[in-house]
Amino acid sequence: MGRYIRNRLLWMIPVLIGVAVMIFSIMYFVPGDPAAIILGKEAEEWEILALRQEMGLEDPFLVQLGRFLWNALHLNFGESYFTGIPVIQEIAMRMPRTTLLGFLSMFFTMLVGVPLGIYAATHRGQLGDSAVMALALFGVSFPAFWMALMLVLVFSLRLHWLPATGIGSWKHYVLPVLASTISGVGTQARLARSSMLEVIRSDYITTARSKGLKEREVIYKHALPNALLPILTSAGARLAHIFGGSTVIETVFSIPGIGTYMINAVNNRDYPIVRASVLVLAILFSLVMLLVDLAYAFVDPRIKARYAGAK
Amino acid sequence: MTVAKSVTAPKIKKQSQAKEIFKRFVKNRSAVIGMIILAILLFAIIIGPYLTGYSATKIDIRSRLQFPSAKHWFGTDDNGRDVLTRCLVGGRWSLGCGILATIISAGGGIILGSLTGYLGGKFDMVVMRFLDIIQSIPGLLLTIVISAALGTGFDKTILALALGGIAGYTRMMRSSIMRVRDEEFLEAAEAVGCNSVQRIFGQALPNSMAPMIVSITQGVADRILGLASLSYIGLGIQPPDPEWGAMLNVGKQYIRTYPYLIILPGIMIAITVLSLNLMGDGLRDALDPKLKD
Repeated sequence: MGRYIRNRLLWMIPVLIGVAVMIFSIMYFVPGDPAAIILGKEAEEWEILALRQEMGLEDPFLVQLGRFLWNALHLNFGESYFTGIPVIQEIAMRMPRTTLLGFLSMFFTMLVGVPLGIYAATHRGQLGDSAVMALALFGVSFPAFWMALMLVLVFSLRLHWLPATGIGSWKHYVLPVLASTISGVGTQARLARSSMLEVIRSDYITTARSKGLKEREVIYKHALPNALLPILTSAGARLAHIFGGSTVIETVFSIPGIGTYMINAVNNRDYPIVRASVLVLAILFSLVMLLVDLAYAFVDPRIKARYAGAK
Repeated sequence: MTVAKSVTAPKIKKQSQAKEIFKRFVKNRSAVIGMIILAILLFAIIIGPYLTGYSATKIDIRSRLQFPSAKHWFGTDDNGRDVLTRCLVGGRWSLGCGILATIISAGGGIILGSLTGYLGGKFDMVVMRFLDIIQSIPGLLLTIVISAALGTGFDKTILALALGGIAGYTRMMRSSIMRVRDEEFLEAAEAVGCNSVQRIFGQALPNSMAPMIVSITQGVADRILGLASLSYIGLGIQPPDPEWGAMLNVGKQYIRTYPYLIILPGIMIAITVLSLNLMGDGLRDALDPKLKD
């Protein structure tokens, strides 16, 4: 186990460096000159050139990339082109909101989606199954941000129950979490159902049944633990989806998280912010995936066995 | 000549298999419903704009922000344009973008996945490590960044939506190919003298396409949703072009007063995505030999 964890941790380093290189390269080729944008339309050519030199934009690509990586290693992501506030400072302030939103959404998505999927699988072909699957299908068909707009329309503007924008009390989190949960539950229920069905069809379940075990025991003791493995993996994918989608959801609710920070920066061409936000979200996501993988290894005896000998 | 014979023989069987799959697909009620909805929708967005009698982009300030009525079924927007016409023309943008982006993604994924899966070795390792990197960036985030780098507009948005998806398709294709790689029919193909390109794309690929076809159907749905998100945050397709997400972006300022401006394009998205998902589910059931009656 120890070796597995160590390998897995070590592997994160090149991946994250790769992510940093990739993000830097993509943003490097963004059209538009940041120096010209900062100085505005009236700037003279020599002024722009001087600022470009000062910002290090005239250096060769590899020099700039190296500087970016070196600074990122020291958690120095530069300053916003426009406000001059260090990016890391803003990110530290906004990060908790995005993470809270993400983990709450994921928690409720799993809490509702997985049991629904298992229920549907164990009642395959019955009315309950059809009802759950129909609901799930509707859930995955609406864009999450549109669902968010509808929730605002009903609960904030018509009923005046919950605030539509900003953060402050727990009430501000209800609608954003609800919006991403609704669109996630469908996917999760469908996944849980199909993974459960796969297991129920397998031979050892037939064996368990044929040796006269009660159906309850077959489902909860034999089928469920095996079905949970792929579900666990899908939880990681769901989180990626939520982090990605949070950018749009945060925009809808004007939540000052990493998502809105990044979207505004994209529209203003504030490159340091875009690079740092994506990198931070990728690190966060990689860490969660690491935890998922470790949990997987912990639960799945096959993986544990593979590394047990080489301890 | 014997080689030619042995190649034509399985072809006949393939046809009957396609027929059987089609039969199972047609028997699947939800798949048929999805197909009918999609057919109606396609018909509407292709023919519809000519029938409404309004232009999707021509500004008519005198009739701005009118609630739905007999004259304007979906009402008019802030520039006095007929929302129904815009929704229908918007469908061309959304579906067009979604389909083209998926074709590029899936095409890239199929080629790359087949090669890595079949060849294995160092090539496989390098590509897979590269995909690891790409996939540690949450999907929509990557699309947003690529879209920001490329800029807005139809072709650039398609590319942004497509590039992010290649990784997923490659992985899927690779694992399908690896599953069939050691099957006897590939050994047989080698024995009758097929070269590796023929073996990969002529034999291994068609035999591992089933999950791919399902995933392509759902890929179009996902990309329509992704495109809507992109346009909503101000990338992707720009107003005045009537893409659904772009319409929502404009409509959100009127959420208090003219909510139909955000309700209707959203419903269009949902209907489209729903029909594609229904079809995808039907295809999955039809292609799964385990569910054969």
